[in-house]
Parts: sequence; C-alpha cells; structure tokens
Amino acid sequence: MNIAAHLLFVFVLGTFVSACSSTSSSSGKPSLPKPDSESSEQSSSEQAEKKSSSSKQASKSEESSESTSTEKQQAAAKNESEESQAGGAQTDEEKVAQLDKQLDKELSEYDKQLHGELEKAEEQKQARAKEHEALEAAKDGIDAEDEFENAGEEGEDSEQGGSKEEQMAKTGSQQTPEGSEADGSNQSSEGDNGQVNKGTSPKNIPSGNDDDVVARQLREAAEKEQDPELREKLWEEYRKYKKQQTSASAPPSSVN
Amino acid sequence: MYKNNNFSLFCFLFLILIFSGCSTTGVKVTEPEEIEAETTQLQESNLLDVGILLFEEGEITEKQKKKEGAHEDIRDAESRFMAYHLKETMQRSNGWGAIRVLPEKSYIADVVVSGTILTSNGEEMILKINVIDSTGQEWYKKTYKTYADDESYRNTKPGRDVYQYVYNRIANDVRKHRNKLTEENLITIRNTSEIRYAAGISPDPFADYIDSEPNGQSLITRLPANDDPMLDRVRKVRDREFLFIDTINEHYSNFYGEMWEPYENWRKYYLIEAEQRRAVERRAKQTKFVAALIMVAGVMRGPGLFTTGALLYKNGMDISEEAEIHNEAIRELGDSLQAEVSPMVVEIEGRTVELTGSIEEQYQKWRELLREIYINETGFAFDDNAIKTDSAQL
Repeated sequence: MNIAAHLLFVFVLGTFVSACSSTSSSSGKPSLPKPDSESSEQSSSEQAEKKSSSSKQASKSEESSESTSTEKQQAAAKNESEESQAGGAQTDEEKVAQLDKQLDKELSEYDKQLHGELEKAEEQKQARAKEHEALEAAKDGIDAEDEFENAGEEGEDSEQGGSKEEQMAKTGSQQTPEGSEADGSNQSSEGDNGQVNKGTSPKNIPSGNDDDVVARQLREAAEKEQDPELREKLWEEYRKYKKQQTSASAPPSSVN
Repeated sequence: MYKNNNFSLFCFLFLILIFSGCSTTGVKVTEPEEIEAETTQLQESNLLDVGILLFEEGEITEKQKKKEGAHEDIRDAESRFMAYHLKETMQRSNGWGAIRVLPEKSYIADVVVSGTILTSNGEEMILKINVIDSTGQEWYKKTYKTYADDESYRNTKPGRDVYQYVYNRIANDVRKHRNKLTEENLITIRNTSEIRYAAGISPDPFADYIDSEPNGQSLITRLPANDDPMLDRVRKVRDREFLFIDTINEHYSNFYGEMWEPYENWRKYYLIEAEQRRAVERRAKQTKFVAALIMVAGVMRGPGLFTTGALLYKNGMDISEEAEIHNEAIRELGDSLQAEVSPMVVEIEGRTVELTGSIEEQYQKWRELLREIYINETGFAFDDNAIKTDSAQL
C-alpha cells in the first residue's frame, strides 16, 4: 500500500515536472512557474495601467469637457454682458429677435397705458352724459312745476275776473315756458305783427328789440310782476315810454 | 331870400331821409351750404388720413377786447372746439380715411388742415384755412368770412354749429381739391407720409428714401419693400401714435361736448346784445345827425329851431351812452364764458401735456431700440447726431 502510494506520488511529481519543462520551453526562457498570486498581481497592474490610461482619457475628456463648460460659461457671461449692454442674444439674429421682443413688450405696455387713458375718457363721457340727462330731467321738472303753478294762477285769475288780455298773456307764457328763463328783452312778443307771442307781454305791446335800458327794465318788471293791476300799470308806463322814445327819435315830420 | 331858405330846408330834409335810409345796415347772411358726401365707396388706397391742427389764435386787438369781449382764454378754447367741429363735419363726407385733431405738427397724416381764428363772436366769424399734403404741396389757402343772424340760431344743436355752412364749405373745398388728384398722386401722398414718419422715427434706414426740396416739398427717391422688417416695426410704432392721437381726440371730444352749451349761449346772447347796441348806435347817430341839421337850420331861421336841435343832439348823446351798456353786457358775457371754459382748457392742456410727455419718453426708447435692431441686422453704425436731429424734427 505504501509502495503504491509512493509510486503514485512519483508519477504525479514526474508528470508535473514534465509539464513544467514543456511550459518553460514554450516561452523560451527558463523560469519557474509563477504562483497564482503573482499572475493575479500582474493582471491587476495591467488593469491599473488600463485604468490609468482610461482615466487619463477620462481626465482628458473631463478636461475637454471642463474647458467646453468654461467656454460656455464665458460665452454665457459674454452673452449676459452683451444682453445687459445691448439686449441681444448670441448671434445677430438672436439679438434682433431679442430686441424685437423688447420692442413688442414696450409697445404692448404703452398700449395698456393708452387703453387705461381711453377708458378714463370714456368714463368721463358717460359721466357727462348722465349729468346732462339729470340736468335735462331737472329742467323738465321745473318746467312742469311752472306749468302747474301757472295753471293754478290762471284758475285764480278767472275766478277773480281777470282781464282777457292778461289771461292771453299768461297762456302765451305757458306755451313757451323757456321764454321766462331768457332775458326779457330777448323775447320776441310781436303781437302787433301777428307773430307768435313768446313772452308774457300783452298783445298790443310793441317788440322789445330796440328797447333801451329804461324800457327794458320796465318790460322786465312788467313781465315778472304777479299782481295784475300793477303789471298793467307797468305795461302802461312801458307804452308811454316807448311812445316818447318814438316821438323823440322821429324824423323831421315831428320836428316840423 | 325866403325862397332860398325854403329850398335849403327842403334840401336838409331830403338829406335826412337819404341818410336815415343809408344807415340801416343789415347783417349779411350767406346762404347755407350742405356737406357733399361721397356717393360711392372709395378704394382703401385712395383714402387719405387727415390731420386737423388745433387752430391758431389770431391776434386779439384792443378794439376786439373792448367791443367784442374777446379773451385769449376763449380763443384758446375755440382753437380746440373749431378744429374738432371741422373733424366732425369732414367725417360726414365719407371720403377720407381717419380724421384726427392733431395737438401739434406731425408727419402722421396724409393731409394737414391748419386754421387761424381771425374773428369769432356771435355775429361774425373769419377763419384763415390752409391745407397741405405730406409731400409739402399746398392744396389751397383761403379766408372764410361769414355772419350770423337770429335765424342762424334756430337750427343749432350739438353737431350743428351756428356757422355750420362755413365748416361745410371748408370740408367741400378740401374734398374738391382731393378729387382733382389722380390715383397716382394719392398713392404718392400716402407713401410720402409713411416714409417721412419712418425717416423721423428711424432715420438710419429710411432717411435716404426721401429728399427734401429747397421749396419745402418732399420727394420719395425709392421705396422699401412692402415686407421690409424695419418698415413693419415702424408701422407698429406708427400705430401707437395713431392710438395716442385717438386717445387725445377722446379728450377733445369730451371738451367739445362740455363747451358746446356755454359757447353757444355766449354767441347767441352776444348777437342779441350786439344787435341792440347797433340799434342804439344807429338811433343815436340818426338823432345826432338830425339834430345837427336842425341846428344848422336854426342858425338860418331862428333861435327856437336851434334850441330844439341842441336838445335833440343832447338826446342823441344820451342814446350813445346807452350803447356802452351793451358793450359792458358783451364784456360780461365774455367774462362769464371765460370763467366757464378756462378750467376746461387747463384740464385738457394738462391731460395733453401728460400724454404727450409719456409718448415722447416712449419715442426715445423706441428710436433707440429700432436703431439697435437696425445695427444688429446690418452691422452699420451711424452718427448719433443724425438721429437726434431727425428725432427733433418729428
């Protein structure tokens, strides 16, 4: 059993030695077979070399990428500075586009400003229209009141037996209530001429177009007077005064 | 001798009758003229934009101040009122593009109407009107004079002025002149106004497109392409100026509406007072004249007649003094209107100054932007002074 074990050991050893000699003959250099650790070390160094080379490449690429990003940053900074200076972009076209945008923005801002102003003007117009309407309504109200008052007075006068002439004068004033607001001298009450009687003067009162100050005052006082008797006296004075005026300024026939 | 005296008296009386008749001068009223409107729709290319400058205030003489109660403030208000009323009138003829009242001279319009108020009161109006197109060609220059009487005030209402027929006549005259122009003329006018505006806001690219003649006329040397990007930008800016003027016009419209009633009343009562004053003056004149003749007759015939003449002359003097009352009334009417319109004028002027200031500020920005765009597009750079000069002209 021991002999057999020795023989097996020698066989294995011999086989191993022959195998080693064949390996050394194949490389051309007599060398001991390298242990696994060594080979593993070698492989790792190779990998390291590869890694280093790859890292170099990577570092190169990093460097290049770094340099690109720096350029970009520089370009961006340049752009920013250019933008801040000129409002443009990188290329001329982009710059123009940027400026166009800026122009449009400025214009639209101005549009807003003007639209606000237009709205204000429109509001003013509407306010004025409302004011005007209110004024018209107030005027209508006053006119209606006047009409009502005049109608009441007319009733009283007729009860008191007022003259026909006076009643006609009042009727005239009711027909044209706006006449009472105007200057008395401006009213054309040409009863003699058969024209429309606009004022409150009786029919036989001449036109007041050529009234002087005194005549105008008399006329106004007569028109405004509520008391019929006093009013008639005032109209009488007015007639007398006008006659005097006419005779004073009459052509030579009156002189001769 | 007795016969001679009788003959002299007869002559005096005859002269009295003649002079009495001659002194009754009536107010001349011209026939109303209605607006002539286009019956057919005009082509877009034939529609000219009209700019009506605020009317200039003619010099107010001392006599006008005293006798007409004329005020600078009233004229100031009238300069806006009349320009706006002319715009309203011209719009009724349907033969124009946009019609705008311009607060100041501008190249924005194809045709510019400018007016000067020589006289304006309740019975008389004299306006000097000048019409010019964008090429610098004067269409015409005319003075319009008219009178109003009582009848003229019967048909007035907002939009229909007492002197409406004068405004109608101006509108018709401008239209008649426009109708004499060929289509080519109209296109040239439109192009010129656009290029003049472009050269004003962006002189770098557009100044070379137009030549200024020594006689003040502008001649287009060439035209940019219709899709020229710079022209597009200028058109955008021009649209804003249109909008700006339209905004100002809205304020003018309000002003016009507010002024209508007090202004119309002032003119109406002015006429009444003026007529009364004229009647008084006429009567005073007649009385004095008759009195003078009687006094002369009295010298020849006896002291009794002379005394009557003297008394009559004194009466004439008294009547003359009455005229001063009407003068005073006219001045008071003027003062009253002045007090009413002055705040309105101040308000509208303030608003205009504010808006004009804002657009001028914007213009400066827009000019700079347009210039920068042009430099970036073309790579050209220009003298800064050139743009300043051109912008100052705008």
